[in-house]
Amino acid sequence: MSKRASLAVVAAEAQEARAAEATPDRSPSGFQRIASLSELEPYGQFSKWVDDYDILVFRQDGQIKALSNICPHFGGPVGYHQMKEGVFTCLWHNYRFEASTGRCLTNDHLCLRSYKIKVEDGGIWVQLVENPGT
Amino acid sequence: MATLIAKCSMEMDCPKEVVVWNYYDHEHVVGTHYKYYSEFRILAERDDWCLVERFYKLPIINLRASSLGFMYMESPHLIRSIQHGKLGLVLDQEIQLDDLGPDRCRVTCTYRMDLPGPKRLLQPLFERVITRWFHDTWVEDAPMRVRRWKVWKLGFRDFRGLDYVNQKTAKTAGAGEHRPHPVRLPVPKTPESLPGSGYKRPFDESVEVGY
Repeated sequence: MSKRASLAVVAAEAQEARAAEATPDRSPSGFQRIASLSELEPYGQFSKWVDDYDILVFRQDGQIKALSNICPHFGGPVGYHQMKEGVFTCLWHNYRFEASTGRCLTNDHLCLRSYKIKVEDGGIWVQLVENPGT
Repeated sequence: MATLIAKCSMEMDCPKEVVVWNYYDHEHVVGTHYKYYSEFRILAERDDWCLVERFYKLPIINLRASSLGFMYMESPHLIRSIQHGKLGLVLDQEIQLDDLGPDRCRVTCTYRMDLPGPKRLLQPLFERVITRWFHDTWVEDAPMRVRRWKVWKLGFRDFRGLDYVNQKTAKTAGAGEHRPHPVRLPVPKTPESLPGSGYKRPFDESVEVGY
């Protein structure tokens, strides 16, 4: 590696380390703050990319829940349309998913991942990685 | 007889292979383009050719129409689609695909239609309708193509998703970054759909939260 390239790597690593120190958005238990509660309005749902995970957060029966927003069919956005009667319909091919479980109603073999979630300090926290060792 | 011509061209932040996938992913027209297409049927399909029937609404003149369309690849850079409308009109469309680097391409569509009547009167209307149609469907397709390319580079597999998401693990750094998108035709269909049964728009209106 050239001197210039190695200096660039060192600088990038230092910048990353500073960013991690300055970010209070990760808890030791692996939860990450991804949004404030107000982002649920006005639709009762929103989706957001966080570290290569696209997460669909929504309110159902007074509870806040999170599913993967990536349709396992071809990768479409599950939460593009507002949830209707407890069901999300993917924009691209109309694959339907039960909001409470993530179960696909169009194809029995598909399911959306549910994310563990908590609400704290006016924020929505999601656990992206549950199996860090694997 | 007048030959009407319209040409539209736009650039796209994905390789041309993703655009080919998008054109051959027939099932998306009543999903992604649900405001224009009401119904779609695949009558026959093999490798890079297909015969399809579409029901849609044309912009500007607000005309409900349907057509039988035959689509095939002239070459890896050129898709040709010939659509025969129920009124006897034939729309000949050429879709030219040019690479502009590993993550960018240009799509140029040329539309031709023979119509009885004076060209100077028909050409402006033809251009307006086609340009609006191209623009509106482009606006709906563009985020689809860009997103498809994004999830593909993250390691997405059709009918499976992203392994690190499903297995609740961390994503391996750099995984999938240099993964080319294949042109594998025909694009797999929803197993639950019966061949020839068609696809219908599930709703007329929706509250769109967005991507």
